[in-house]
Amino acid sequence: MPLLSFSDFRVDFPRGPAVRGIDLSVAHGEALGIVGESGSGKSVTWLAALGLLGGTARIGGRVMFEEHSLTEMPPNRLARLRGGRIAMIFQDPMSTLNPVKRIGRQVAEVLALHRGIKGQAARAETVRLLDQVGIPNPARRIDLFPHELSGGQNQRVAIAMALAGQPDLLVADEPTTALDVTIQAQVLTLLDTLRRDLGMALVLISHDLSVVGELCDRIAVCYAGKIVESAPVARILRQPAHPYTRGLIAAAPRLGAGAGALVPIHGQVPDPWNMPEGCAFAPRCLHARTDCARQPALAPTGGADHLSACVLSDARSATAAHRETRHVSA
Amino acid sequence: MTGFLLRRVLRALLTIFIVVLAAFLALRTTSDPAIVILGPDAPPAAVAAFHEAWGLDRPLWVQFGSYMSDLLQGQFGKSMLDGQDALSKVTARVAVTLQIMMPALLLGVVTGVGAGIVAALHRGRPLDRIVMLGAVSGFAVPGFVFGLVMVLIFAVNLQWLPSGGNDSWQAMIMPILTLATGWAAILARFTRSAMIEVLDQPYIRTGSAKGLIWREVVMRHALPNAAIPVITMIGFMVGGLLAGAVVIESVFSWPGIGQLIVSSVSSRDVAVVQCVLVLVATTMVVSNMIVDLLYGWLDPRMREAG
Repeated sequence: MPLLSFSDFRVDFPRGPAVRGIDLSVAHGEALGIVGESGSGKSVTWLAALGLLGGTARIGGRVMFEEHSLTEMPPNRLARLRGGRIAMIFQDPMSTLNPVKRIGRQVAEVLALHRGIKGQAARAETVRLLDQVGIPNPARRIDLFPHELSGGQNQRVAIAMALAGQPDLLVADEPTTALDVTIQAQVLTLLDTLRRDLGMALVLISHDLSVVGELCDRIAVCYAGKIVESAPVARILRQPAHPYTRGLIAAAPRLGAGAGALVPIHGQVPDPWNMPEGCAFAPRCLHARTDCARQPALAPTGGADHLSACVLSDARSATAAHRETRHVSA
Repeated sequence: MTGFLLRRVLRALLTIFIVVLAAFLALRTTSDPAIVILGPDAPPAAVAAFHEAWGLDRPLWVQFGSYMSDLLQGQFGKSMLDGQDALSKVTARVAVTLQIMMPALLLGVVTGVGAGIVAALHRGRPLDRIVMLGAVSGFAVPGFVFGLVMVLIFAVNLQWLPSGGNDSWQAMIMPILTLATGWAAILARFTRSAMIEVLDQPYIRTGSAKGLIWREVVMRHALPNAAIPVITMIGFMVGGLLAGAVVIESVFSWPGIGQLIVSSVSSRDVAVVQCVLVLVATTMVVSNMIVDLLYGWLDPRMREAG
């Protein structure tokens, strides 16, 4: 049984759909990367599943966490699952911590809530957690306020807070986007080490394919509220099947590639209230054909663990299209 | 911290000194208390005797000097009208004013802050609209109009409550309600916007992500942050308490400090007016100082900045 699975999951806002039917699962201990542009629904999917979206969002479909249905759980029970078995960390570390509370108290709050640890024991455990996430001199830092720490250290505190509940699943939503490159690498390495040491599953949400490629076993690519491709990391980076994934890889900057090596994807993500019929990527796709007007299903392409939602996705046409892409970009 | 406190106290004393000087000059140069108190037809000999008795024949700066040296010894002088000690005259009236101010402040803060929190938590929904409609009307209608309308309804037409005076506890009801309405209206709007700003902050979502249910998130993470601007506002209100008594006491003929100011200004009872002004300035300055100290306690980011 997967640890967590979405089936036909949908999120609708008054202005239009944000997530338009997602099927996805996370196995125990797996590192899954979710990649997509802003507005692709990659974060909204997880916020909605965990009940962290505001009142205007309407949710459809199902999310199962082991044998519990998150979508049918009463809000207060779902709340107690968060921070315990499922933890989440967010983008901007300077504002995700409460500015008027000492960091130690913010970590200890989770200990009291999910593990019933209080008082001196909680303090000791907080010091241990801060040490585990690489905060130097944790016994002294425990009484500092968030503004007295750097962005990278605050993100470490946020990770310590997430670990405090001993989660089976950690969802990291763009955890390094707001950090300097060097700090970024440190935090990613930390997440990777912690995942391996603690055996928890990690979902890494990012717009940066290279960040996700570094850390994850499997990648799912989101576009306009749907998953357009998912496959093991090595496979998707080497043999992307969906034109959008190919576009993302071509658009990623590489050091040493020289000027002019970037190939942008033209156009923009369609607005939720103005979705095209059929494949949402078709208007930007170099290979768009008449049958793109019907919605392609996410189907295996060259292997059971490689799924792609594109009419070109059978192996032969994908290779043909790939050649064509090179031709066009050359 | 001690340096910060010392600077604040010195600045507060300077503020009070400027208030005293300005009041002194304004009162002594605009008209002659002897003429006002003795009447325009008073014989010149009587005026001269009055001047000599109260030291008004001396140069202005000498008068101010001796006034200040009395003040530093805690002597506020005597009322020119009846020779009573100005300070005891004023403090007696302050007590009367506080009888309506304190319950009104308590009521205004509790209902205003409460309504603001409820509105923010129901943002955009009917309850929010209703609370805000009430707050905007309470804010738009001046206190004296609201007070007079209440007098018209409950005292004149229904005859349930006395229209003024302080003879019975019933007489306190209308002034308290009038004052509390104004404060509650301001605080409701202020608290609502402070809460809404805080509720949109990422750390609120972090609170939910930790596993807290919504009520706990609001209590532990939203309220302490939203309290910072609201406390400032309440501080200003406390500072303006005595000064704000003038209008409301006139409407309900409540014999407090407000009425004393009006009568002693028009009779040029200099010692009394100045005593009141020093008192008003002091409450204003002291409450601002307390707000500053509370700031540091509520918001750790302010501690270094102070």
